[in-house]
Amino acid sequence: MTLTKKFIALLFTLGVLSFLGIVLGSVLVPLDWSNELIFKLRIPRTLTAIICGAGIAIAGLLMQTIFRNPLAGPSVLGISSGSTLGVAIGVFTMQSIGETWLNEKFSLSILAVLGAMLVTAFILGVSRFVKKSNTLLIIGLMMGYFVSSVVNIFSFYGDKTNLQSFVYWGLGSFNKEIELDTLSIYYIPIILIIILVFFLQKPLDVLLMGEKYARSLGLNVSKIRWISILFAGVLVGVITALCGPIAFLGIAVPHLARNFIHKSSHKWVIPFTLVMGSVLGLICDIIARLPGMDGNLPLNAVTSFIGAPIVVWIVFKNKMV
Amino acid sequence: MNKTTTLSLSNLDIGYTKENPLIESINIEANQGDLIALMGLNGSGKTTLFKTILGETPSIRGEIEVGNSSHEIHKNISVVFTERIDIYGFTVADMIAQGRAAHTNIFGKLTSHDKEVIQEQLIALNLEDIATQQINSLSDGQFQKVMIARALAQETQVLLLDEPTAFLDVKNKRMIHDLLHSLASSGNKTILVSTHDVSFCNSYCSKSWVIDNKRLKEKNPKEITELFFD
Repeated sequence: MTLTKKFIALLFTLGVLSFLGIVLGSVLVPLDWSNELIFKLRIPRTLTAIICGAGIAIAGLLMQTIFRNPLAGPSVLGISSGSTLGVAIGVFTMQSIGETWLNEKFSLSILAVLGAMLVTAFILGVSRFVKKSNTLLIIGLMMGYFVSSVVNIFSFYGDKTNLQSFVYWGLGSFNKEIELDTLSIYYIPIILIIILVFFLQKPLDVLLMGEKYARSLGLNVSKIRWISILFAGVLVGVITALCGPIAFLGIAVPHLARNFIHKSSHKWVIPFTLVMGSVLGLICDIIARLPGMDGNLPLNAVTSFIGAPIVVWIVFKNKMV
Repeated sequence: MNKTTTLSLSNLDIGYTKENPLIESINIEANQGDLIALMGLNGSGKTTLFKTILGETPSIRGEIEVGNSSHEIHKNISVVFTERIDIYGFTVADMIAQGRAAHTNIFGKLTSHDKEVIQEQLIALNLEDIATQQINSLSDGQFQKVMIARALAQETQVLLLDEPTAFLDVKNKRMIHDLLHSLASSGNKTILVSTHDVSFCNSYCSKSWVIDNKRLKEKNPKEITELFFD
């Protein structure tokens, strides 16, 4: 199958899954556009799964390229934990601060973005001195644990009502029951960055050859790294603020895309990662709804259930054991 | 610079501290068609000299003139390193196309001229048959050959190779050495190769630059043999 045909097949799958995302759920809703449930619940949820699935996958791709490490990803290197810390600080301190200086959700998003970027910048700074990727991964994992422990301390001292909503948020969900107008505040930066990432395809390709070759081809390596960090940090931060930390999609999807097309050039990998991120996001969301049953499975339970075996497969395939 | 001089180092001190330069007072020139062996003991400053020429490490003092008046190093110098890079999902042709990155637009779109250059390198280095083969499936020797093709596709006057055959067996070493010799003599390139291989230096190279006692000097085969074997 040619790459174009593969892409069309993926788009078709995305179309079918979007349809299923709208009609399936605890209640089977016929595709009746006058039905309020569709506009208020199902369409926003499906759109969130498509956009955030694509966004988190692109963040994972950026990180795998700048770290030149197949196991890099928002949830592995502690970036999602950084966002979680940002949100925890926001949730547990805002009440004591009183009225927030901005819309609460907006300020939470900014804190989540800052948390994500802070951890990414730390990991990137350390990566300059650490040659072995395994060491870097261990440092990233430890960073994740460290940040999580700070989050736990905040949770312990935090207000119990806030704690409940924080724990619930941490389980992850594409179902936000928010009006589309409000959701678009989250969608816009994600879509904007995804568009901008297309302009990075050439430098990202050059970076795949390693820093030394990239420099010899005239690439300003540190500039591209920092732009990528900024983009990955904003993507992870905004998506985490909206949906909670999403495990494994960021690391797994770029690998699935590369293996599907047998290419690493970002000219191809970016669009395939985008659509596959949306497809996997929708699949996880549909499974999380458990059609015919009340309630939802936590999104993270589903993404981990699917994503963890994929990561193990990557480790074996790359002979990392 | 003479008409055929492609690389000129004058009054150059290199290293990391002013007080203790690695090599000092370098005054040397390379011309079109030169295949030069850069020799010196480990830690003598070969890699630092490369980094300084590439603009990655600032010089302490002196001047480096490369090719034409363009200040864009990557349009004047291309480079091949020792280590094999771990890369998946690139064919031989894709990798050679990376050499065009210095010339393509923001999206890396290859023009018809870029495609011609890539095809020329595939033919010149006898890589046509494996053009669509994945780069990670190649032997070490073939891989280095592709990296040299990639550097040539960059269309620079000067080519720097940092111990390109360090990990290769005798057969592959010879193949790369023959290739470099023919590129320098027929292609009018200036090729500077850092190496510890005295026989390569004596049998293939037109010049030898030797770092000894913080000085970089051109030496003849007899002097080199004396220096490294006595």
